[in-house]
Amino acid sequence: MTQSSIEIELSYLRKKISREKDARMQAEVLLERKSTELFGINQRLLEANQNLDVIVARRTQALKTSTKRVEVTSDELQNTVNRLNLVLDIANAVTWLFDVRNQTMDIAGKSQSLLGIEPTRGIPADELLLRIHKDDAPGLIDELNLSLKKGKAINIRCRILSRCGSYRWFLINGELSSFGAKSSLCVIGSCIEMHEQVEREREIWRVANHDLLTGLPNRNHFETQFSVLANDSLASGEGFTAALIDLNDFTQINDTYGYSIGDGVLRDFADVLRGYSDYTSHVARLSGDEYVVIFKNNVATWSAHELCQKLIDECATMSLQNGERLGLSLTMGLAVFPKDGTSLDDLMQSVYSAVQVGKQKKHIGSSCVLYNAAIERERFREKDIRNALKLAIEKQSFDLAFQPIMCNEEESFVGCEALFRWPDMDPQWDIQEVIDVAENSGLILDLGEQVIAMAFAKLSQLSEMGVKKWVAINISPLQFQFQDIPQLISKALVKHNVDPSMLVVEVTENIFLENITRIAAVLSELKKMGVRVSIDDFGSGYSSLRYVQMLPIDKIKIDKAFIDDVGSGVESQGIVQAVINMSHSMGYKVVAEGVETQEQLMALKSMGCDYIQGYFFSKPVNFDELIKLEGFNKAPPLVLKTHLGRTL
Amino acid sequence: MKGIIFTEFIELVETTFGYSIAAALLDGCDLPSGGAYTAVGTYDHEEVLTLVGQLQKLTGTPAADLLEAYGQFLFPKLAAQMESMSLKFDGAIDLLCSLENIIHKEVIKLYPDAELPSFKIQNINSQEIVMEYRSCRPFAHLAKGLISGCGEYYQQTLSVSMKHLDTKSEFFTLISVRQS
Repeated sequence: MTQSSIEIELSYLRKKISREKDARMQAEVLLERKSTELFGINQRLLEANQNLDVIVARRTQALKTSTKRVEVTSDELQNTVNRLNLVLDIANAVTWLFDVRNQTMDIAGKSQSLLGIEPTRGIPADELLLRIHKDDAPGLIDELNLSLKKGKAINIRCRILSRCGSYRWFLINGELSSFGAKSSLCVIGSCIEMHEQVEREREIWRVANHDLLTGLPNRNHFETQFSVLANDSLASGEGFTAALIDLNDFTQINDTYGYSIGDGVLRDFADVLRGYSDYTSHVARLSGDEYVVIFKNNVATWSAHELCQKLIDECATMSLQNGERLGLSLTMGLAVFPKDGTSLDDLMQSVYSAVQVGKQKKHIGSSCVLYNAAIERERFREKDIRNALKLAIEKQSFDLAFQPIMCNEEESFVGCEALFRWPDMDPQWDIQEVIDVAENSGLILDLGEQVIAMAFAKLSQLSEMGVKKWVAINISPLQFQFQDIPQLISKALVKHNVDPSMLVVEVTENIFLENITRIAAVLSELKKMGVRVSIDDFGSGYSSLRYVQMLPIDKIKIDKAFIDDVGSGVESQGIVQAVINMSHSMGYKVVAEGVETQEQLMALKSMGCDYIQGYFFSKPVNFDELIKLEGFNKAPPLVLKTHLGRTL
Repeated sequence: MKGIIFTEFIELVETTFGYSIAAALLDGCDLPSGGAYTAVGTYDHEEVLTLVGQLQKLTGTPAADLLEAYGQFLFPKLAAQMESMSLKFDGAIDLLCSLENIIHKEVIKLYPDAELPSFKIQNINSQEIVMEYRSCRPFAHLAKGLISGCGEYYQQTLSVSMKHLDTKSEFFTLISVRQS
């Protein structure tokens, strides 16, 4: 190596040392700076770390809180589930979920003990549906479909095959919902066992809607059935025949054989009606001895009429429980829906009208009457009378006529009978017809009260005039049944200050059909007040000598029908004589009404009849005419033969 | 550019060409840093180009050859640093394939301001790859030298060829590497 190259290298190395120094200084500066940076970074890291610790602590606390909350929630949830299971147990209930997409059911709760199915998930819905009673399954499916389509809540009672293999009643409730993470569509609900309750309800319904004696539907149930039947009939245009059956004089069966046998007859008769089920759609017992039968649409009215006749024949000989045989007499009325009535009331009015017509013939035995135009006319005539009568009662537009009664012994007028008159009455109507309508419609009660008031007013007038003649008023059996007659008369006696002995209460024999003990008590009460009692129209109806003997009466008025023949017919004369003798033997006076001829008068006098009433002396006259009658307002005895006659 | 590139270059010149060439090189270049390099510093890459250009003048060796030779010389130094970073590879191809996704990512962690070239790998097969070199600096030959150095480091024979496809905005070179 040359000197020159050595110098160059030395020079290079010196420079290199110098550069290395510079580089080292650069590096030191750099390192210092990096060190500072690192320190800063370290500090920041430290802070970040601390912050991180705080965050971690906070997050840890939050996590602990959340965990605690979840634990509490979990406990509460478990408690809720336990409580729910307990409630399901107590309520005999099962919960269910119907997965719409998979058509499967999840079952929980008391399903094992109730249905014999372990609580499980994913049971095919079809499988469970087979356990529903075949009559209830369609309804449940409908409810389920309605729930799915319209969101309607399910609430239906179904019979479900139970664990023991029999069907039991359950209440199924449910609502459309969703479940799971995917919010799958489902119907969720409960199934509560309510077999006993339903059975009780059904029993209550059965008792409420059926006649306990015969087991037939009662009036209430029949009305419901009829409503459905009528709607169906109007919709289909197919009418039907209805029959009302009345057991004639059934009370006599009870009276004769006792209630036990009577009840047996009612049951047997119901069974006879059930025997016609091929032809009838509905049979019901409306009241004590009234039954209604609805014939099927396909049974023509004439067929129904024939079947009724067959029924009548069948009942002509019925065996009683005591082995005796009895002929059951029926009155049947038939009417056609909708021709004879478009509502239950209308139709029943028609059949009742037909029965009423039949009743008029009941003395000849059973009858079956088909409602017809003539009955309808009669019905509307009665309706007109009833309406006019109601109006007249409101306006008090009635009057009284009086027919004097002659005493044979004293040969003078001793009293009169007050007779109901209606001055404004339609001339087409007959006064007896009006009274019958009043009796049948119950209007006789108001009418009777007005008659009593008018009679008392006239009695009062007679009393003020010093005329001591008695006035007889007619009291209807219906008034005895529904009004307190003794109280009514007692008040009137006080109000008008009338001598009670001047009042005679006339009752017809029909009163014997009422509770005779009660009637006897009422009449005794009247007697105690001093009022006298007379049996009117004796011999025309239910003439029971036993009752005549039982009742506290003063007089017996022989029916005009017997008097008509007196003086000409030997037979009637004998009857009249017998009645007079019998009455006298019991201490009763006898009145003959409807006496029109001298011959009748003479014959009755010779038979010892006490009082005479009739056209022979006077037709019924108004009050002014009555008091002008010779002998009525005066004490001296009258010479009958020369002064009294029909012309009065 | 990291200081190690410069310090190792000077080391290469001193070792290969001797102090006189090294002195002539540094004296002949008017370097902003004055040639005082430290491995932990960062310097303008132009200084490398200036040094390589000056060395070419002094030695008559083409700059490309100089850069390739430098790459070969540099690789073991960088490999030592890689080992300190616990980066281990099965061989040269494995390393080259991991260059972009593993090695450069670790380098960026250490030197966030480092401006690294991109190497997109096209796998031909397990023995052969094509690397798409893209950089804002013209150091494809340095890269080639490094790849060769990598082969030597793993004692594998690599044949490396280059195809320049430079664009206006970047230096783009396809480097084919085949292990034989």
